[in-house]
Amino acid sequence: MTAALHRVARVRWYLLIGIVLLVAVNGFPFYWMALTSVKPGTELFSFPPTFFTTAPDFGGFQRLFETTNFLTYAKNSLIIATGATAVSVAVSALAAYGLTRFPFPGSRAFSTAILYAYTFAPIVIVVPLYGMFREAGLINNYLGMILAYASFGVPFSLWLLQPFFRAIPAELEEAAFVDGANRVKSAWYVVLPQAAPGLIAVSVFTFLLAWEDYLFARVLITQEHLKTLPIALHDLYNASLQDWPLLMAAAVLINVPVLIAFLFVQRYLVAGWGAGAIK
Amino acid sequence: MSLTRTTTGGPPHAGSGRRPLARPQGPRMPGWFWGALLLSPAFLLVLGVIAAPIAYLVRLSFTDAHAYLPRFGSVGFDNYAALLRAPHFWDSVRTTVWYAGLTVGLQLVLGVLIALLLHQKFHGRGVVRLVALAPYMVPSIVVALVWRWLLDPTTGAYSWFIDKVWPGSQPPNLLSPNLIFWSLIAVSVWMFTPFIVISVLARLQTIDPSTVEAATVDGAGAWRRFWNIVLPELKPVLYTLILLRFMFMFTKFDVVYLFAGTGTEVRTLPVLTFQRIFGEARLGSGAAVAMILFVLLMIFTTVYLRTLYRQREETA
Repeated sequence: MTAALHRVARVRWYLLIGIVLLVAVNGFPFYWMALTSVKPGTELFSFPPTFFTTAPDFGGFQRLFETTNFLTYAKNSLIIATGATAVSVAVSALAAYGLTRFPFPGSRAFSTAILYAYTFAPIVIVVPLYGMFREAGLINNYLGMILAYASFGVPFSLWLLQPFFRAIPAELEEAAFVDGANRVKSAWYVVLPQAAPGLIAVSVFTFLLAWEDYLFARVLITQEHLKTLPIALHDLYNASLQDWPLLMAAAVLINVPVLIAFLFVQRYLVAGWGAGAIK
Repeated sequence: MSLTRTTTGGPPHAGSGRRPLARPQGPRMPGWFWGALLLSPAFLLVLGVIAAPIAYLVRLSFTDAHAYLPRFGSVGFDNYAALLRAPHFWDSVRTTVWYAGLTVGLQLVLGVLIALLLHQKFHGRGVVRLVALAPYMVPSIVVALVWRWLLDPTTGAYSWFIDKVWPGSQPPNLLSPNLIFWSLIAVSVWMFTPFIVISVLARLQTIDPSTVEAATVDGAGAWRRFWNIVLPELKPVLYTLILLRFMFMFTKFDVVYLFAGTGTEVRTLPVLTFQRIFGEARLGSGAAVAMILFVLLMIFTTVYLRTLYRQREETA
């Protein structure tokens, strides 16, 4: 009896150490980022550093909005990420429905090709895309960016969505047909709600992919007023004076949509990840 | 009933003699027509933004294209030959293999440990899970900047930490050229381990807990339970994860470039590609590096898909 109790106590002990370590290592950089964004200048470089501040100073945020075009960058990021998500999800939802409901010769080959595309590295695609977009006049262009992000958004979404559509029983649709609905109606009212968790997960993932991307935006955007947030933040960092409260304020704000997505749809995120990313 | 045909055929009421109310107007179309129609936007997009660029990449890699010069000529295999002869190209290959190998190995070990930890029941598990997954969701520019700020040799919080653990020691400059590679490894592992955690966690939840309980009753310790019951269950997912993560780390660009720059000690193949094209404006040579990455990626992907399909068949 006592031996068993001992074992439980020992297991709990390891568990506790593990959790504390994990939370500290993963959480501290976020805490430090948030803290730095509101640290008054006198505490910023003090040694030993302060781990809490009683006199928060929002000057970093103020300078961010007053001296940089932060809102413009945020607007660009929002438009591009939303557009890329809309295009990717609409196109891949149609394709996923088609692939799972109307298999035809060649649809399996297409599925496999999509899997290849899913593993594509942005660095491989961005080189020719830069050349092609330059010739087509799609550099410094919202549509160009949206199409560029669709290049990994569509394969990724389609790869994730197929299991969701396959899991919807055909009987549900058949019941709708018996009730007099046509294909389109049954797809809209019966299939779509069933696929909603997958669609939400895919939308969030695609949005985040576009939201956080650095490479495509760096290459395909050269004009100041079209920069996205990651590019703007990197350029602010490279500017001569490293104003850490300002940089961390920008970092905090870039993370806001990520956090919202994370908190509100984590259930779907895990479902989507589990179903699609690895079988 | 004709109902069972509907998954592969057209609409179910076609020719079934049911009342024609729901029947769409116009001639009936066979199933493949609808399949092809629904697929066509995705097909065109993939053709336009992936297939065409790859074709263009192949062509570019055989030319002396330069970003600021409008005309370019064919140079045959010169770009490839020059790369294979250049020592710095092989340095990049070595760096890439080490970077991918080390980060994937560490991610795997830590990821499985953390997944086992998060699989336990304890108060506040949901919050801890969120914290555990958070680094993966953050833009790489944020990861790079926060870690540069933490590890800054003069003002970083890490020098305080070193001072606490080893009082009086001079903390090494983790951002200096001789240590930046190792810092990059640590930051990359920090950022990408959650991918393993969540995948392994999803798999752990499908293991029947009664087999683990039975082993506990039989007196198997935690290590034996893990080695004999849990690990065999995880093996398939670990194989696919190793391949997938290796592919991703092999081609990872942004966090490498943003955190560590383009110094020779961190110049992986993706960074070399970027530098050739956007630093030196040498499109042809950069395209050749990208082509080499592309071919390697296709080989990895084929192996990955084989593994995946074999597992699907085994579990089906």
